Amino acid sequence: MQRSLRPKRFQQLWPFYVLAAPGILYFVIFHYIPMSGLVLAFKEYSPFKGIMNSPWVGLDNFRQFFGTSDFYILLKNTLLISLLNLVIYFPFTIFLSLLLNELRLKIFKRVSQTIVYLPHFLSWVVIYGITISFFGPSGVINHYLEAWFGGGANFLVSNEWFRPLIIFQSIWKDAGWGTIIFLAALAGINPEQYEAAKVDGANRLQNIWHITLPGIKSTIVILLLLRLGSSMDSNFMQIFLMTNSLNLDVSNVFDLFVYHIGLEQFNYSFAITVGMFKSVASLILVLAANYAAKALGEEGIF
Amino acid sequence: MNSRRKLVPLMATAALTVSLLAGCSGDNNNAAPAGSASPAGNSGKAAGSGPASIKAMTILFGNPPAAENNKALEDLEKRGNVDLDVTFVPSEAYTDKLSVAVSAGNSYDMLLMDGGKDDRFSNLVRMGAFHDLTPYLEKTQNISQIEDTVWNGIKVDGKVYGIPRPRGLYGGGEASILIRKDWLDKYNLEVPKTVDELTHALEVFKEKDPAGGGKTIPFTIFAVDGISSPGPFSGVLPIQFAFGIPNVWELEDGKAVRDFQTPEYKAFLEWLRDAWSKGLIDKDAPVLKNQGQARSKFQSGTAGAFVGNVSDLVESSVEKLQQTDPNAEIAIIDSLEGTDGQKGVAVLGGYYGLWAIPSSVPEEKVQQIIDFLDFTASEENVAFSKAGVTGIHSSDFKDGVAVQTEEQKQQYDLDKPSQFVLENRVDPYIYANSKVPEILEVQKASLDIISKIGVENPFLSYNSETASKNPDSYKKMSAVMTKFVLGEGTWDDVQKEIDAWTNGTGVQIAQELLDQYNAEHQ
Repeated sequence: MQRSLRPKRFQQLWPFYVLAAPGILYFVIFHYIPMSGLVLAFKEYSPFKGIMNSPWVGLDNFRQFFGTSDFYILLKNTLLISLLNLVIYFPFTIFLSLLLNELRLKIFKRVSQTIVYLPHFLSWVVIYGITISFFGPSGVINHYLEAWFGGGANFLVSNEWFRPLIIFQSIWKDAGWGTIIFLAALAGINPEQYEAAKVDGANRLQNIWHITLPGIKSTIVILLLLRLGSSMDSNFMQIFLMTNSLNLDVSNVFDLFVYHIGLEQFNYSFAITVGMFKSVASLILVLAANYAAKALGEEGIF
Repeated sequence: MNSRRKLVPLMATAALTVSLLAGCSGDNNNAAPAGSASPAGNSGKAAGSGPASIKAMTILFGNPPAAENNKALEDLEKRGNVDLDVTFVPSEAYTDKLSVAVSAGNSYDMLLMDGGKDDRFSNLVRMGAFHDLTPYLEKTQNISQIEDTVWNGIKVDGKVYGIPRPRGLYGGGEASILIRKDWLDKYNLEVPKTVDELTHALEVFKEKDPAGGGKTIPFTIFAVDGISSPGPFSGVLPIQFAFGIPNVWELEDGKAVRDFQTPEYKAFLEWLRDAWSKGLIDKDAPVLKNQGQARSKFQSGTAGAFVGNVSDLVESSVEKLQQTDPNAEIAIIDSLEGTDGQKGVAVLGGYYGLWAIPSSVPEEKVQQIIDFLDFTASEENVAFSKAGVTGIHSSDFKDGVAVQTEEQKQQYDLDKPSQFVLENRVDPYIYANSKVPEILEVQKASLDIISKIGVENPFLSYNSETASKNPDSYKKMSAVMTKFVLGEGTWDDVQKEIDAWTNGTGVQIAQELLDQYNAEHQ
């Protein structure tokens, strides 16, 4: 019975399979086949011998990676920057969306939105240039610090200022861009709720606290989960430009390490090992966070 | 019926997978003509039939030559009987691009290994990345004129895997100090000849502030990345040699001594620390990433001195300087002496970059590529690189200087004939590139002077595997040295890092280099 049904269903459904084919092919070709490259983490890869002929080395690459004294420093630096992004940059985007949402004058709202988006389109190189001219040893800020207090600060060439500057740069460049999804979610809140609250005598802050924030709660949770998934990544360009020999203690992150080892030294296998570690760690983080979100009654991402 | 329906797409996917994997793996035997994006057809044919098509990748500083309707390229292709496709990659992105090009395997016929014979190059050779070019070199007329010292420096296991692009043996980038002559004149100072005179001149610059508004930077240098080499700053070589510091390594009683292990290095760091505390050194130095950034500070008229080479005397860089200060003049300090008369300039490999031919290129094509490189290194192309095509880029070429109208000059700057001369001819005066005869004289004289005070690095052509496996080993040392110079750390911190190196990885690195040296000098 069942067997004879199948061809019939296929005949009915084939246009849909055809429609889906390009998408499936895309995932197979560009997402699943490249995953086979992960075997290189267990090989001593030489591009000239090919993937097949490179010798197996078992877990040597992983042993070398976890064995370096750099491993814990890299882990700490990477996670700390992500964590700071999570607790400072991320709430800031929500705060900014709320501010934009509370604007009543349409034109003013549009203009301010455009203005806060703009820095997103500057490249990191430009941002680094701006940072140097403001925070550099002979930059504007140090100039005034010296004139007023008789001493400057080593913003760009010390361990202490590296993380604050990174977060500040991220906020300056991308906070406006990060508001887009929140604003879309805010637009979906039913205005009748506000009107009802007004009748009950709620003021603006009470509106925000009791209507707006609960209205975008699920969006916040989903975006938070997605951010957790990339917490092993750092913004390579940003860190690469900001790093120098005086802040290496805090600026050396996995992505930078992969760049120096993998690309500059042609040590592909080792770079893939580090990349694989990052991916697995991120996957665990996301699954755990998703589980936690569901346990707390939120929807989660899957 | 059913099973066949299932099977067909499955097989198609399998076939696709296999072909993709083959494409990724850079298989040596069948890759080159079929997979390559370059106009194929010629490549497979025997040598001598029609122009050879050559796809090359090279490093670019500044703007690329005109991509379309480039008369210089057309002319060179015609004379060299080639179909040339050069990818110019900006220097900032070169490392990444090279890495991709190497791992892709079959995309280029020749690649410029910009680091020369370094660990990366040697590793790639051992992986079998490049053709052994030794047998092809005998027939060459121009390439074979490159000195034996240069050839010996680039050989891996006694074989040539890359054609060096000859440069002066002395000073590619950091040979001599350039200083503002007009500022010196203003305060009745001679061009400094010793470290003390230089320090004094810098102090005067700091005090009198010739750039105005407190903007004067007496001396601009830049940070080292701390990954390939240790040290607080780059752009200080002439001063290091004036302190008597060896060129990276020296041999003492059969022992290998690294520069930072010598007592002279401490004296040099103390000079830097002192100069820093007096404000003689660019405050931005720790965040400057390369010589280009230091150079642009000098050319913008705020810096009094920086370390470059004689080509920084060229008229275009003076013109740039004169846009902010019409009276600007540059003097060059060819050799700076220390208290006991020590001075020097690093003897380098005598080349910049190696042309390597990926092993995916078919053997019959290798000879064609070598022939073309040999052709570009010919006498006629020396004239071509300086004067371009007669009638388009210049009207004449006399005594090594192109005679150009303003219009021809513009066309020359647009087409950049010299960029297509991929292999240059052996020429000790290669950095003397001014078109003004007087400047050219000064440049040549300066090159003559520094050629007499070369300091050799006995291990220049050897590689240490330990060093290449520990690319981060100098990072901490650089950091403490920089802190010491900036007055934030003590000498004890620096000494501790140096001792750690001396008793740690340094032992192996020195031994590996010494072994190679001893093997060759028995």
